[in-house]
Amino acid sequence: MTRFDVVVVGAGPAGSAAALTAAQAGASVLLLERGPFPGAKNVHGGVIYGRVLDDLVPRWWEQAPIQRWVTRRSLMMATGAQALSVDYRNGAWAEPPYNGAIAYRSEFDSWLAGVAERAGARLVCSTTATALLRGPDGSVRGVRTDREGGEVEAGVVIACDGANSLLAREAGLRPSGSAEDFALGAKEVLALPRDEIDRRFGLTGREGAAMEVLGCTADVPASAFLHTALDTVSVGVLVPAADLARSRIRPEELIAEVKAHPAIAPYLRGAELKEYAAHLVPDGSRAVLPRLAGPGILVCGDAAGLVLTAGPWLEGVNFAIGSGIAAGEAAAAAVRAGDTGAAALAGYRSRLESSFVLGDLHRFRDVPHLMRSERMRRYPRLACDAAERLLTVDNPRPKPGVTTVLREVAAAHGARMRDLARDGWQLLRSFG
Amino acid sequence: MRVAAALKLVDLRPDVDPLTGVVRESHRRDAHTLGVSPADQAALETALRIAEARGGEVAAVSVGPPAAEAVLREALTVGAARAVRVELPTAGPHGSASSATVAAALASVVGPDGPAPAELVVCGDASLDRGSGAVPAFLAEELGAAQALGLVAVSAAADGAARPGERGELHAVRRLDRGHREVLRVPLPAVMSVEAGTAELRRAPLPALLESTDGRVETALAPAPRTGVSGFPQRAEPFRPGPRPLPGPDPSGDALRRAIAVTTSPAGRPPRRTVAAAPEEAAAELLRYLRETGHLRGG
Amino acid sequence: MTMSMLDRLRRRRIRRSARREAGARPERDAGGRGDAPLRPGRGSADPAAGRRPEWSEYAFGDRMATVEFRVQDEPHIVVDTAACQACPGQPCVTACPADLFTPTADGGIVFNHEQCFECGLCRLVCEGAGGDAITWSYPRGGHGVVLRWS
Ligand SMILES: Cc1cc2nc3c(=O)[nH]c(=O)nc-3n(C[C@H](O)[C@H](O)[C@H](O)COP(=O)(O)OP(=O)(O)OC[C@H]3O[C@@H](n4cnc5c(N)ncnc54)[C@H](O)[C@@H]3O)c2cc1C
Repeated sequence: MTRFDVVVVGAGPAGSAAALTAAQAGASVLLLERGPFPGAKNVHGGVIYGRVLDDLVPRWWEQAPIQRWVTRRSLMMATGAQALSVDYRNGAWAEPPYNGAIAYRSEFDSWLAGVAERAGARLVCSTTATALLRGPDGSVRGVRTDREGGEVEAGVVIACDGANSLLAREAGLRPSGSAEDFALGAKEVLALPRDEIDRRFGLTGREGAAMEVLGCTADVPASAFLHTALDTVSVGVLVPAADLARSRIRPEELIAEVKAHPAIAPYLRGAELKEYAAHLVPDGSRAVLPRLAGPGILVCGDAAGLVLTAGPWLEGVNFAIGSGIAAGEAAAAAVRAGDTGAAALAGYRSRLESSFVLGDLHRFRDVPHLMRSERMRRYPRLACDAAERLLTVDNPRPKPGVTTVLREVAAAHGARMRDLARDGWQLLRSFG
Repeated sequence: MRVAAALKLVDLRPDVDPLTGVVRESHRRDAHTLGVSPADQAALETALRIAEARGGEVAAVSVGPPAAEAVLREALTVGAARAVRVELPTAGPHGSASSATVAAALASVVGPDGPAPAELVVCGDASLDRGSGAVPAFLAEELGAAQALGLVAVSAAADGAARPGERGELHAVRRLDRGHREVLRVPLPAVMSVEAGTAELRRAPLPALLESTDGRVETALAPAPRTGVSGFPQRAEPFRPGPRPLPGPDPSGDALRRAIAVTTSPAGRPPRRTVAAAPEEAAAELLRYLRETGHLRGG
Repeated sequence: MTMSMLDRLRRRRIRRSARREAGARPERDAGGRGDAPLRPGRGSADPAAGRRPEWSEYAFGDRMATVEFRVQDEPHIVVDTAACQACPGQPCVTACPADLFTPTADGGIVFNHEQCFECGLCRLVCEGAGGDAITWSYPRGGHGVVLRWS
């Protein structure tokens, strides 16, 4: 049977980062991917926060297949007919070290896997890991794949197999996931001429826009996003799986609802559908595995539930890479020391705790729950109504004062000023 | 027995403008769209099975750019013993070479004097990128070999080969019109082309994938095109479906009426009709109808 | 008994509304929300809420045709339709982003694996509804969905 020091399952950002790190540390590494190429099965909204790569791949921005650099971020609160936006622009984000990168996963994931290959990792695509191999003591000793002669022995298996992680479940690290722990992301990629995108979103050169929208899907606590690539815009929704099932609304209908919103439709008019896709997102506040390591196995990225879901903001790729790096280091160190037992691999968790990965997840742990609450969901509408009252000039009536408007609008939504203050404080606290 | 499989690198997901039929270059994620057609995969599998049944080796051959080496490496992982990429001597994009040129290039490799001589060459019957299926025919001509084209089944069993000293025939099935099948006995040397679905390409075992294929793809340069042939017609523009006039709604009607006319049947179109008649009369009636509706022109 | 019949009826209507394509939309109610009665729980207090486009710009088949699938012969997901007959909500029917679960007249489900995103949502909502009708796995390596623009 073939043997590698480290077998990484899944060539998403977590897997490629783990393979690259372990290979750089001198381990022999096999990187298995079930898609015909890395990224073929993967979906994101569009934005990758790449600073986590700075040490691993120096000057990564010169080689990575990046479409645009985010220089405009906005948060829109919407009702059926109104929209209130906070729009932030920063031209400096179009220069190194950059802040957010917009890329296609088919290209980005293939690129990162290629970096791992060049560092010595062996990438094998079109191969699904179907089971774990175990030693007599129950520790993980390798994986079985769906190919003839497909068993591979490993010092450490790193499961980077995404949100559904069948391997983490098989290892007994993940309880059978529940609908409450996941959201569905569904998106469309729409083609528009590049200069048309520049004009509509107010961009030049490689500048890109990332917009998040709250409240424009009436009956489901979905958030929506719009991200610009060079000549496509991706638009999609993130909706808690349990809420989607309860609502009996189809995912593509939610996207249609977003696209039809009067504040969003003008951006997309006349665009042509290039691809429709859907994927699960673990809710990082709930789905983080209590145990991230077992004897002979580590779990990273989406497979471990390491995704930051703070309201409309979603960061998964950077968390996947961050955890992959930590796992690659821990695995290589354990192999070098000749001990891959659970205790020897426990260093993985402490690495994550001292990094942004578990730090941020811990800090924002209350946000997703709070954002889904009935109380919080009325705020987009409340904010829009307050804006309407403040911005409507109905002379000869005199202008109302801001506190009056707030009090009246709050009352109309069945809340008191005291509730507003309390929720505001709670929201502030949950964001740390 | 030496068998060769001819594989062509094609774009598996061409982005075709739905209105003009023109293949677009701009909206292309070109990474990972190149590969071999299902028919070529079936050809490789057929070649492997025959070589196994008769004891022999398969050489995978591709006339194409350096990018074609990826598909040749894959052929090595599923069991091809050799892989040869043939470079055309002429400048110009590989896809634009004529069937005769490609066949001559293949023949220079798999012919008796080539680096990978073969008694049997298996090709896909037509590649995905609107290939005409003419390469195997030209190749048979070049090699002076028997040709059996458009096959749906090839029996790898050596039933004709049992007699010692004889170069065994192969049995193959070809699809004919109206659901008929034709069983062929194919003498060697031969060129075959198979339809997609004739055989599903096997998956490479993991150890084969882990073995390095570095340096195992050979390259050959095809000889300059023969003189004497005046030339072959070349495709002047990309393939596009031909326009055909269809009866439309009355242009003088208002927009609503026209929309109704095209979306509801049968208003605005000739009503559906069932004709019960003797075959000759029915045929005459059909012809008359096709002329009337503009689908047939003349006489 | 009556409950489940009612439910099934509603499901069928929901499904039909989900399938409605351009041009095939029935006329709208006076309130402008022809589908309102089909959606229990959709807010009716605010007429501007839940604005739906007047038509969906892509027929569902066209939408799925933008995605490449390297179809494997054997299904990688198996649905136990007998178990579905006992399921009151059948949430998979509306939740599946590829619309692969179709209710049958006898209260069961037919499932087609060919255009599956392999997202795993069906398994979650099935278990969430207290069911275990879905045997879920990935297709063989190299098969199934291939995304290029996502
Ligand atoms: C709609 C949507 C929008 C998002 N937007 C953003 C965003 O804007 N920014 C952001 O940072 N994050 C975003 N995310 C989250 C982000 O996409 C994920 O967190 C990230 O992809 C996780 O990386 P990963 O490597 O852990 O898993 P994945 O990217 O899912 O990779 C897992 C890999 O493992 C492979 N695999 C799985 N099982 C097996 C097996 N058994 N054998 C072999 N291979 C296997 C898969 O094919 C895949 O390549 C979004 C997610 C969605 C769904």
